[in-house]
Amino acid sequence: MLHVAPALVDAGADLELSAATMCRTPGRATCTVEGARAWVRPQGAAGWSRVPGHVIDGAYRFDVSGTLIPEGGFDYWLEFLTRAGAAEAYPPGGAQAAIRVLTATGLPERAFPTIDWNAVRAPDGVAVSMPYGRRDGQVGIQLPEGDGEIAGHGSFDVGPDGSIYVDDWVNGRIQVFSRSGRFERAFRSPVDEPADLAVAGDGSLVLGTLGEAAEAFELGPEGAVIGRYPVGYGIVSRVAVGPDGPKAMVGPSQWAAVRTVSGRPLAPELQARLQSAVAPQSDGAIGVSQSLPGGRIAFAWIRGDGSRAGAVLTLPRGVQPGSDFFVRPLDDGGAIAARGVWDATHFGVVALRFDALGRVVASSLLPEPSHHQVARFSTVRYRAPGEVLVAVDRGHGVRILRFEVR
Amino acid sequence: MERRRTDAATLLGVVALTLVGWLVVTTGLTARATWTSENCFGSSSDRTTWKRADAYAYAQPARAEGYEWNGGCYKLNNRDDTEGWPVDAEGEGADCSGFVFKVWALRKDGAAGYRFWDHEMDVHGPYSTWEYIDPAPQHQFHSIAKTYSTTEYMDAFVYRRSDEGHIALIQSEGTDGSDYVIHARNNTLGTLVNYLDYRSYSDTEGLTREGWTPPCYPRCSGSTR
Repeated sequence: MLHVAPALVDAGADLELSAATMCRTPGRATCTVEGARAWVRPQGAAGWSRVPGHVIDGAYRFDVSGTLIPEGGFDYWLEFLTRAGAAEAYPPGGAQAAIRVLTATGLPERAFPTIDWNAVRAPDGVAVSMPYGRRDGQVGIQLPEGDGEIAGHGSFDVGPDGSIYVDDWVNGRIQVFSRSGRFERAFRSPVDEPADLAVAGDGSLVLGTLGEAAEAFELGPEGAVIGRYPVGYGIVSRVAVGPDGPKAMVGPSQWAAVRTVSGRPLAPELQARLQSAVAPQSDGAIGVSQSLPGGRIAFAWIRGDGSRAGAVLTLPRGVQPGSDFFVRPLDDGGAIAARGVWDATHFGVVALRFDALGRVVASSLLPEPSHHQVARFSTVRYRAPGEVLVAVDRGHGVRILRFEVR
Repeated sequence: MERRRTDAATLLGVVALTLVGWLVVTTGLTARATWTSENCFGSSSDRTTWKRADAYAYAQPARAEGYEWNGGCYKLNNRDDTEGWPVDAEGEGADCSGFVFKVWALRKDGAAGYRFWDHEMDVHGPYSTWEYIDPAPQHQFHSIAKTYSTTEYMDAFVYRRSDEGHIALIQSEGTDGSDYVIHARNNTLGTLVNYLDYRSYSDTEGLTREGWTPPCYPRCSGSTR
């Protein structure tokens, strides 16, 4: 199932959900969907309301009335009826694993900072520079001319001490660089494909293969495999790890838990029951951004006192919302966010510094991230206390640039 | 004189045949069996219609079947028969541009209409990402805006740089500059579905096929979509 879930929506506004089935052999009775419906339960309601699905452009669309979306949000799950007579639920587990959607109610509406595509900020430094190659401190190789494919790195993340971990899948290893960018060590990777990588607060790691039938691997700080977890549904495009363990992004705003106890995989239904809309951060902090109708983006995070803060920013005309790289809550109650923006011929990353009231106190346009990093949504990372790291391509290697956000 | 010449020619012929036979035995120069020569026996045929749904259905079985630069043959058995083979070794799968050629049922001669290519037929088609990124007027595809309101499933995103290029088909539209795409990715990952942000790349173009058969066909009443 290919589904795009929202993390935040406008209360009281009509909402369109969509989902497409995916089957290797279309036409078979078990693959042919003859009807679909969404089951929606407004926050505080006792029962589920049925929303019929209809086919548009090869996908099922579900028009959820704004009357089903109170300020407290709603839960939903999808049901598909096949010609073979089966009722398939999404997420697996159906009502028991319903997707929770919150609203942007209470977040102040403001204007997004002006974007000047010609004013891309220069970096404050280079966190790591990695030429292509097999030696320590180098990464990947360049495949023969003709294939048209440069095989660089898979992903990178930041360790608890500010060190940088790089998934050098071509050479079958994870490389670790110091905070100052010096090569420190490497250890074998259990994954022979490009993978996303996330580092936990204790220095352990999660590696996740991408796409269909993906797997997540949990590794100790020195690379010993602690657990291997098949991801039971969806298309994996990112992994993350928080205090309660690793999660895999199986679709937009759908983070499936792959285990509760180290080393023990979960069944797909249990993975779905523990699904959350927001990526866990290594220390448990919570932050998210979500596009809304009308060229708006909601930014929300949980402050240290447990309260919610954020803002809804309206993009300049003609600018489209891009990837949500991260929203990182800070000790002062504010946050740093990195969000992709694009139009017909440009792409950039906007780094935003919010204060505790959700006001933008600093912003800058950062360069387009690497096209060669396989884990696309991890090309931009946060490093404490106030840096945005962006992986970019250079002629014969990869650089991770450092931008200070004050 | 004539006889002597004949004897000499016979001797030379025997020597030459011996050398050729030795070369064949030691180097396998003639009729070397390849994966494609042993597995790709498909054919092609004209079609009068080709809907997006047909393209979608055609694309799905290719998942997990491999990738081959300049290739075009899939043996539909749910695995990559030539996994780990070198690039361009006449193995299983299409490359990205060959995959789109077959899924879109394009014709080799560039004419309008639809040509169905069996998965098991080893055909790449005449188009590389250079042609897809910069279509000529006679090509049966053209650039479109990248906005979600413009694209539909089975349209494509293509980019072409000096050192590389790629084209991927929309499997299902996503959000925030990203989509579920189906594509012949590379020799490592094969042909698969990913959730990727190709739509938002600064140098990506949107692309659609000319002349899709409307989904309502043959019971259309004014609708062209």
